[in-house]
Amino acid sequence: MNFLELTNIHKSYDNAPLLCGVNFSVERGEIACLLGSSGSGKTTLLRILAGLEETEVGRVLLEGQDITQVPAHKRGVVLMFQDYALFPHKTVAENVAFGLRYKPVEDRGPKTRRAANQTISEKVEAMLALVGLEGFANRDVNSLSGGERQRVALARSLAPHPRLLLLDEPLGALDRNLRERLLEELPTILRQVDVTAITVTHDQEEAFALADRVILLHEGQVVQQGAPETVYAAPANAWVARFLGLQNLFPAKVVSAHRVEVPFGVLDIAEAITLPLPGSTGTVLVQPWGIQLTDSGSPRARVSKRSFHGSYYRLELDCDGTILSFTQDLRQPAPGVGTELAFSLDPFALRWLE
Amino acid sequence: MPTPRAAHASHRLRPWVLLLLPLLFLALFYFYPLADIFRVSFVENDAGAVLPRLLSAGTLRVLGFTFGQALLSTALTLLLGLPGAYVFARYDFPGKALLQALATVPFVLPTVVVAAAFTALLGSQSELRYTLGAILLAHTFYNVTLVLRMAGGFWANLDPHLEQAARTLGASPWRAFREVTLPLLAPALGAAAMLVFIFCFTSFGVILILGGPRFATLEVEIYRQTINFANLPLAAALSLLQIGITLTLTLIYTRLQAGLARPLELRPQWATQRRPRRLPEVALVTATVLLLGLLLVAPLLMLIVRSLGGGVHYYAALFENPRRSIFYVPPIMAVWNSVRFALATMAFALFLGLLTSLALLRQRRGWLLDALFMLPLGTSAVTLGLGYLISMGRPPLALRGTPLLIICGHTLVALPFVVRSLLPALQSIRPALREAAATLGAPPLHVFIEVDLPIIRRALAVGGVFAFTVSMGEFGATSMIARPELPTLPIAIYRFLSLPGALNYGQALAMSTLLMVVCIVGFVAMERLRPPGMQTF
Repeated sequence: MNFLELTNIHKSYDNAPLLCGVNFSVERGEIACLLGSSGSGKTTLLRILAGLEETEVGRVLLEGQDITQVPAHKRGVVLMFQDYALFPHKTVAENVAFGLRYKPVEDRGPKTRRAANQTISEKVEAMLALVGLEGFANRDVNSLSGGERQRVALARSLAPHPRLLLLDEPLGALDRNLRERLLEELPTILRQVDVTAITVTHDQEEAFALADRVILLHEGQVVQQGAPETVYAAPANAWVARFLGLQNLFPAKVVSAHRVEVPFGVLDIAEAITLPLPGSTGTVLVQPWGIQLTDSGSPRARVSKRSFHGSYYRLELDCDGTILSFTQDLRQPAPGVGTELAFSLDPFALRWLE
Repeated sequence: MPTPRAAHASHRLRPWVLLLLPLLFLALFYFYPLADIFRVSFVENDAGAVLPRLLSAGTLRVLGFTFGQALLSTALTLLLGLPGAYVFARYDFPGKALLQALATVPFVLPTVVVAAAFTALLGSQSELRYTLGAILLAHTFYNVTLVLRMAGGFWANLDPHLEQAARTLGASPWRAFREVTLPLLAPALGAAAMLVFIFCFTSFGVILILGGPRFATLEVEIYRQTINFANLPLAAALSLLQIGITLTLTLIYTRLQAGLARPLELRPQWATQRRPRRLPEVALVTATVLLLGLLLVAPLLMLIVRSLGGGVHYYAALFENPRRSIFYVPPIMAVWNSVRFALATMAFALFLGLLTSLALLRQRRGWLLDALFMLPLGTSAVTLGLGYLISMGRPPLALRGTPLLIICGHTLVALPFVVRSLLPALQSIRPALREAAATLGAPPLHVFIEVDLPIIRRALAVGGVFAFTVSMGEFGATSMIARPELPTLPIAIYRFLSLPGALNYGQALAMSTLLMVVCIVGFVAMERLRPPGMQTF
């Protein structure tokens, strides 16, 4: 039995379908990441999970229990909003304590009100310490910086120890530096409290850094899911490849068991990859790391663009009008724009896409 | 297979459940009395007889005067208000905040108090009292704040760079004003002028007291036909005419206000204002401030001074009950009545207003309902009073003469103000806050108590004070339905003013002073409580 299971989720707005039969499942303790372009229905999917919207068809099962009809406040599923939705009329501590006050009494341990309050304030302190906000308890939430607000929202969401935590673009509202720091901290904190979490993002780097598993949404359906490495190395189709920022996609035709023809020549493909019958057409993906530059040989190309990115170069080669885009490390100087050279492609960097 | 969604269905039902009481209230205390006015004009009387009476020379004279004085009042208000608006918008000077607050005071004062203040200023026995001039001056005093607030407020946020750009492109100061500032200002100016016109058109207390027997607006004529001549059919016909005209005017006003939502880059006020430096600037600012100050302060000051004409003698007399009293009770009882009614009105209006606002908030296309609840604003108080007089004297709602009817009437008048205070506050709460509370485990009622209620607390207080002051000052409707032995403060003031003798007049001024203090205290409380950015009207 899966910890969380969604089957056949449908949702449309103004008669335009947004989600059309979404299926996926998440294991206990896993951090999953829903990845998709804006308007792909990621946030709506989270809201359906939280009980803030209803699916038109299909079911949501949490720990084997059908929660499709359960109202939001009885699900034990907490949603952390993109803009945090901190209560402006409550202090930091009151915000964090909010969910704790709605936990059933037996969960809180002691029965007397004073003891219960004591437990709550201890828990609040512990949560604030967890997110690195010791001493912030009595602060006004309106006086906090963006990063501090994000941490308060996280503490508030984690405090009642939800069965499932949903994070909508958790780093979306932060500036770049803060974002990179929290990108490292967030998975650490989530693992520390041992919570099952689903985050939503449109940024594949963020998804790769956060998630044990990425789930790609396109046109209202799951197009691919798996470990970040797997998805990146073997995109399911050309859309996924493009969405992940992979640019070298070429129309191709199979010529034999391990050879394909592309506009700039015939390529050898690793034997591990099964190709369709000779004569079939499709797309070949070349990973940006899979190139060898040489002075002589073929095919030949001209460097049409070169940009420096700190730890690597990005090169664009023009091969009879076809553009190939590659990264090159700093161990050797990159050739300048206009240089004529030859190149060969690593068979392991090639993928056949339907 | 879609499954039935029970939770969803109950969610859709809720606005109507919430609206049940407010709609019932509106039906019983607004539509039913107005429908009865129709009945009296058309069904019970020969419809053919109403028309000639409406078109009689007398009625046409009243109609002409009503339009004429409203036009003149509006013109005079704009004449005094525009320089004020400009000075407020573009200059920063010492005492500005005080003058701005002072300019708003008349707006919260009951008409009876304003009228009493102007009799005190002009002299109660002087020839000036019963003149058109007195009426126009009182109307200007009353409404100049509308021009200052609406036009001045818009002007203050208008980017001066626009006018400066016109100047660098070669326009003279006058041309820059005429071609750039004035067209941008026009909708705000038009809306302000329209509102002033509507208020002057439906003016009642000021005309009744300052106009004397010589002048009558439509509103005053309805009152006289009812109270003095008991000619209900004519009063009813005049009321219909009044309803038709005010609704049309209100419609035009709403249109004009919609024009205010022009996409303009508004600037914060500190960026548009400076201290006057050159001599002409200083002269302009000084003259405007002095003129406005005189207009605003003189009547109120004279009211207080004359009310203290015999030391505290007039105030002390309020507690006595002379044998031939017109009230059968000490006049101070009127204060107690007013306070009681006002507190009850506050409770009623807050309760109904909260239900209405919550329902409107949940309504996708709420504008029609919104307009429905704003209707009482566009209906004259005297018309409403007449409706009560006609309809509430017999079952099913035999409430004539009861305090409950007065309270319900006041609640109806106060309700739009309460909704106008609460609805924006509720709308300002982002849905994500309520949703966050729900996903953290709070049931719907707790979400309301923990999220909505604390956030709208100040708006609730503002709405409450609004309802209280509206009730304290309400004169038009109350004058038609109050029983002689159960007078409210404005009714008592009016009766004292119509009686001869220095003691009666002195007591009227003393009571007016008391009412003025109550309203100013209420106004200050509202200004203090008002969340930043919330509009008064």
